[in-house]
Amino acid sequence: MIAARGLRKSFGRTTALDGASLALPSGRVSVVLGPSGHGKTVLLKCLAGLLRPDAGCVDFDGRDVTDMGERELYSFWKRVGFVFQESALIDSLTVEENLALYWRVHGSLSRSALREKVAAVLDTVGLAGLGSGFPEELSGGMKKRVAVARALIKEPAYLLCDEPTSGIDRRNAGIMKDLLRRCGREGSTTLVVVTHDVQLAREMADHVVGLRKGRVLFEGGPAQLTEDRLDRLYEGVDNER
Amino acid sequence: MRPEESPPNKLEAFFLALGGLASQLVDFLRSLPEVRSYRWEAVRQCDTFLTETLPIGLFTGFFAGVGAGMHGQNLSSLLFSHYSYVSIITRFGILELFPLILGLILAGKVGATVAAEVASMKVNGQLDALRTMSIRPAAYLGWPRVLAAVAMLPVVVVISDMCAYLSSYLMSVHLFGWVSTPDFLRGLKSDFSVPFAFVHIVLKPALFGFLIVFLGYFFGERASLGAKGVGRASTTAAVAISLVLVVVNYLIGVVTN
Repeated sequence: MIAARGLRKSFGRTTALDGASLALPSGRVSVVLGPSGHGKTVLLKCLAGLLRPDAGCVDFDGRDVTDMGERELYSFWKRVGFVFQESALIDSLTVEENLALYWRVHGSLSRSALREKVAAVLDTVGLAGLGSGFPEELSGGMKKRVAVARALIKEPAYLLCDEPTSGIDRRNAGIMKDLLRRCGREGSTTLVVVTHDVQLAREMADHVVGLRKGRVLFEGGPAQLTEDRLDRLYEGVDNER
Repeated sequence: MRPEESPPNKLEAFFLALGGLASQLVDFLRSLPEVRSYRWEAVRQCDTFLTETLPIGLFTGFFAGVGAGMHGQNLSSLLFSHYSYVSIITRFGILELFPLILGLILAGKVGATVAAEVASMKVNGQLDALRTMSIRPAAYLGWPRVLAAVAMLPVVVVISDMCAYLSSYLMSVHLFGWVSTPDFLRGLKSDFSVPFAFVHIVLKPALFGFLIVFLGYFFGERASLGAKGVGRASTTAAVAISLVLVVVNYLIGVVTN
């Protein structure tokens, strides 16, 4: 279970999170839905311990992430996979090197075993044979799939994805959804997806959270996604901003 | 704007930067034990450092030697003893001053590059990506580069110094002929002390190597976001490293003389 209570985070005079509280079940797919610029990425980074909230706490299976020291955080991150909105692949490394980096540093796998592992993950994300290229040679959709592969190769207990389908074409978005659905179905990984894509939430979510202006508007099963609630979630966004 | 949000004045900003530097140094030292996991990266960085800096060192060394030889020609009518002039230029010009000149050039080349690289990785979220892989950016990006600079800069200085001696010899003895080969060799040997040479062509470049990369990393990691932040980080790094090297060179001079 991932539980956040009263999360607040401001950047200067801009409030990104304004007392957000939520509880995401283990082994399920949770989707945090909301308009762009309403604190979804900040929430995900606070959950992952990449940002320290100004107030509130984040409980990961009984451990408060906001209270962890640096050493504890680095150990916690071994169990968490994070897919960044902009992929954030290390551009000086090839795709294979990006994927192998975690195990090269933390594992004791032989070169051949690591090569096999990398090839298997690349195959899973549908990019077999593209390992020797550099990230800049890939399209946006491919980069996102490599980013998912990089997170999956760690075999994480939690996989946090920031806008996995934004900015990519329908075909790549479809591949990405299938990929995440498969991760979610296996049940051993708790998947948290942050998106503004209602369709993705409808197709994948076991649990949904509506976030607006840094506050949780609704939370619960997919039945929560009624037109009325979605209207309130997205309504007047353009006029307000 | 509330009073606590007002930007710091220049003095406050300076002390804040010093505090940040100290905290970065602590973070750096704390990640030192992890460097064993990145031996392969350190070897790669040594290769990169040598490839990128040796041509600059040889070029600079050659012209430093040529300049010294030409200077001797201009002054030869005033010199009471030619071998003393050779001794002066080799001891103070080539042994003591040349590592500083090379350090200043590498502040622009290596220091600014490290700062720009780290800053752009920060902007693109790659530092956070490393953290989520339980990899300390200082351990993976910082230490291998620092170790490469500490190990390789003395090598570059020694080779470049030799190049400077050779070009100085060719210029002074064979092209202008203001000093004979025996006098040139006598000048090289007189006043030569191994501890002095060791400090200036091994220890000093190693310290410069550490400062160039560590400060480059420091300015890169504290860069503000956006392309402007990356640009500012690299230019600030180049200038700050140059100033620090000049002061450190002076302090080493005070201690060794």
